[in-house]
Amino acid sequence: MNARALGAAGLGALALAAGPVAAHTGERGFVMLLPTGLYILGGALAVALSFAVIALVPSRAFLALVRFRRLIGALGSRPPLWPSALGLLLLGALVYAGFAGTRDPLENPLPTFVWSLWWVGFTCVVALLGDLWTVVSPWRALYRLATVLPGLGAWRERPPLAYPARFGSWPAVIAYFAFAWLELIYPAPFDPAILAGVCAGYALATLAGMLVFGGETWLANAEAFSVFFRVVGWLSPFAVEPGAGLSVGIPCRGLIAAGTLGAGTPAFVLLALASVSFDGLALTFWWLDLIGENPLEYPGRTSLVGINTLGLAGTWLTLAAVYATAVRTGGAIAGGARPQAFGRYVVAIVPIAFAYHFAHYLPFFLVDAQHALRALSDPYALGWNLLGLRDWHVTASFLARHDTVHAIWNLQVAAIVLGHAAAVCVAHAIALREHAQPRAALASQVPMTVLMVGYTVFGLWLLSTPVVG
Amino acid sequence: MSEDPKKLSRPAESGFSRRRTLISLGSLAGAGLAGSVLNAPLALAQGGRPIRIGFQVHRTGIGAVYGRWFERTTTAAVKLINEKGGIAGRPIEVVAEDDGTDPKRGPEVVEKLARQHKVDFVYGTLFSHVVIASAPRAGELKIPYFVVSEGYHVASGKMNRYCFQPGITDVRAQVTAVGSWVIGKLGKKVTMIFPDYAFGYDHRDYFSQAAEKHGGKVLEKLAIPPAERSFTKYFARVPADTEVLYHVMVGPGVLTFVKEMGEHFGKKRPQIFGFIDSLEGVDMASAGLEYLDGTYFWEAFPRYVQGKEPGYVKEYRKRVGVNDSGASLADPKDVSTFSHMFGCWETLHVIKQAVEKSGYKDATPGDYRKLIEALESEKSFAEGLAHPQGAKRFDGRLHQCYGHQNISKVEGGKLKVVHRTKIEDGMYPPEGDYTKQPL
Repeated sequence: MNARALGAAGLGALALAAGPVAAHTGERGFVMLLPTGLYILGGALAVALSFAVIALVPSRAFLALVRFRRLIGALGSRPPLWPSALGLLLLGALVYAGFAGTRDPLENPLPTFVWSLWWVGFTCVVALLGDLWTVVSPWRALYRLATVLPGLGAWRERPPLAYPARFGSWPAVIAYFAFAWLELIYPAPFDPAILAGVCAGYALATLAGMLVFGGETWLANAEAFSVFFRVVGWLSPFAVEPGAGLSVGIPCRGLIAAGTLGAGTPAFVLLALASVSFDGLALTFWWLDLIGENPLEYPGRTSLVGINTLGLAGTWLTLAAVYATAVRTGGAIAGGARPQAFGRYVVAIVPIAFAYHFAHYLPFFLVDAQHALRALSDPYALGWNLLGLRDWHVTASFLARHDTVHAIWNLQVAAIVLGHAAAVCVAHAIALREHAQPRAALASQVPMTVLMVGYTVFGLWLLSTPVVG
Repeated sequence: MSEDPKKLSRPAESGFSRRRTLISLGSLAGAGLAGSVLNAPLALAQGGRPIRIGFQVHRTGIGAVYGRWFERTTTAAVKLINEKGGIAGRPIEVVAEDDGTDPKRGPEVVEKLARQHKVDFVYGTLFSHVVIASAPRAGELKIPYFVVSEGYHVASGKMNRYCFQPGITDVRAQVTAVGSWVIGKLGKKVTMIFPDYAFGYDHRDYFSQAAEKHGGKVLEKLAIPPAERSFTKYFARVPADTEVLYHVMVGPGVLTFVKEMGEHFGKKRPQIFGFIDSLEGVDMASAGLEYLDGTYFWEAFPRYVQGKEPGYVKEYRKRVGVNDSGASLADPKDVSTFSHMFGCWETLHVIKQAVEKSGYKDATPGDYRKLIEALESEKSFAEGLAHPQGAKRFDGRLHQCYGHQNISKVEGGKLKVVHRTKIEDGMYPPEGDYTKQPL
């Protein structure tokens, strides 16, 4: 029915549906004034050019650079337990705040801590410094605490069940999908009590898994965030050399050194990119138009649960299919597909996933981190002022000004382009290892580079096209 | 006086403003100790139960930008009311629940506030689709529900006896009110550009009626698909003899709309009239908005200080924390939703007036009846600190207030009021009568 026909349907019916302030002229309005088409073209060319440049670098020199590392400090064989104990205390304090503190999702410290400081901010820290989650995650302390109990102590030495090898990382994939679903699709991910329940439930499930299959085994395979942060930590120039200490090398060195990933991990990496991509996609006018919703009158998350669940799963499957096609075509060009190639090249997706994670969340993070620090100043609404920011005026004005939006956009573009260029380099390093002839290695990477260029365009389009909110 | 104000609050149930409510109560107690004449400490000393107001707030989701300023205005109004002795000597305690700007969560939030948090009233809903989804639940629960939405839903007669909009005028009244001035001063031949859905249709239909009534004519009605991101082709369809271009675009495309409008029309343009909803929260001096200089906007409440504001408007600005440009005192780049958020302030003062007039004490059917009937018998609210936007008339049959509207001209990146309508200009024949519904 067109506008006129609707109008003829009568004022009374229409009046009920009228909204005063449908959608806000937010940050995206200012981005749309920028020559985003030129940026996208430039970004795509830059990524394509990065492939051309590494083609000119002698493979020996390239591999020497990749292998470069310098020891910078000694480390114990195992991380100390006290950071994990602090992590457990923090988790407990935040979960308690979620249950007992204010119902306001932005004044309660739990939701903004989880969704901005930890999920967005901590991920960036891990990408920069390495897998600190192993050190600070509450799980080791929780496990140690539980196995102090009589009867359970023996389980630490000899877990009751052996972890089935065929499970691989699939439990982590399932948990990560559930986590992504909670963040992107569930109607109330910011509800403090609901989120506290989820955190407590996940902690108990993790404890159960550790008790039954052994702490290290469960964390290495099945705990979603241990898998996630381990993979993200491979982006860092820092790494722990077993028995030697801490070393520094080029960024992404961990990805190149990772080798063939175990069962489930490739799916995990693809899901990580698919979920953050779909988070961007689900808010675009394009997607809402596609699913028959008026983007100016966003119907709320509840009514989109079904379609967006399909969208998330569909994005994951589509990405996996495109990636598999690129790998297979590359193998065919270079002379014969290799069965393990799917699991070997997937690490090249990680820099892209991280770059989009950074770029996509940056505007939200800059606002929600303020809420988080404010809420942490008085976590139980008792009039405390722990960080001195209790009465901080949370501002989002930088998302409604041309100069600051332009600066944020430039950061986003730089992140996307760098992430994809890094992906091209990682894929090239792996190809050099896979193929005896540098020329074959290079040829095998043409389809992957096409994928990288395409994803650059897609990522920048997601950041520039009209969105709700 | 020695009563610990914290004891008045139930930590597990209190909402986002609890901390601030506590602070304000604490300051009350302090004021009382210092020998102040404020009444609230007296009430506290007498053990008066707080009036618990459930705040259905868009804290997350697409309404969050508005939610932030609605929260600030609510907090400031509660602080003022509590400083002046609360409601009937009882302090206000705000209990907030986020609805995620989600119509499906709206009724759940109303129910949670009513049943779990046992609030006296539910208040503060902004987005129309959330109001429309939530109001029936408030009616079923028989709890007074005060919305601050400006939609033409309450006044349409299609909500229920428990639903009121006493603190902000509705879009039909706004559009109707400006018709006379637009046709009389800017020109009789109008082309309308509006988004192709209900919000746009309200403007199209009510302004067309108003234009015809005042001897004008709408030459063309250009409905823009909501997902559109380029507007030049629609400007090409604006008839050459158009004297007034009436626009109500919303969403991220607005800035592009303005830019392309400038590129298409240049200096040879008709008069241009719009609604500030398009640019609420956006600095009028933003780069890219220069073309709007010399065009006109409807405003409910003038964002920029005009220089002759009465003391209560200055007091309102100070207490809400906005400067002379309607931006935050804490961050002068943080522009408020000035034409909407005053509705929170005024609605809370209406609740206070209704409670005090009716003798409401507890959340019982009898007390609710008294309160609703008392509010329905109101005819007007006088301008002043309780109603800084201006005097209001109230139609008890429609549960809706009517007020003055402002037409402002963009001059040098600011909005200068050129006309203030009379309250009667926005009035229309009622389409319903809630007082006939049973309680």
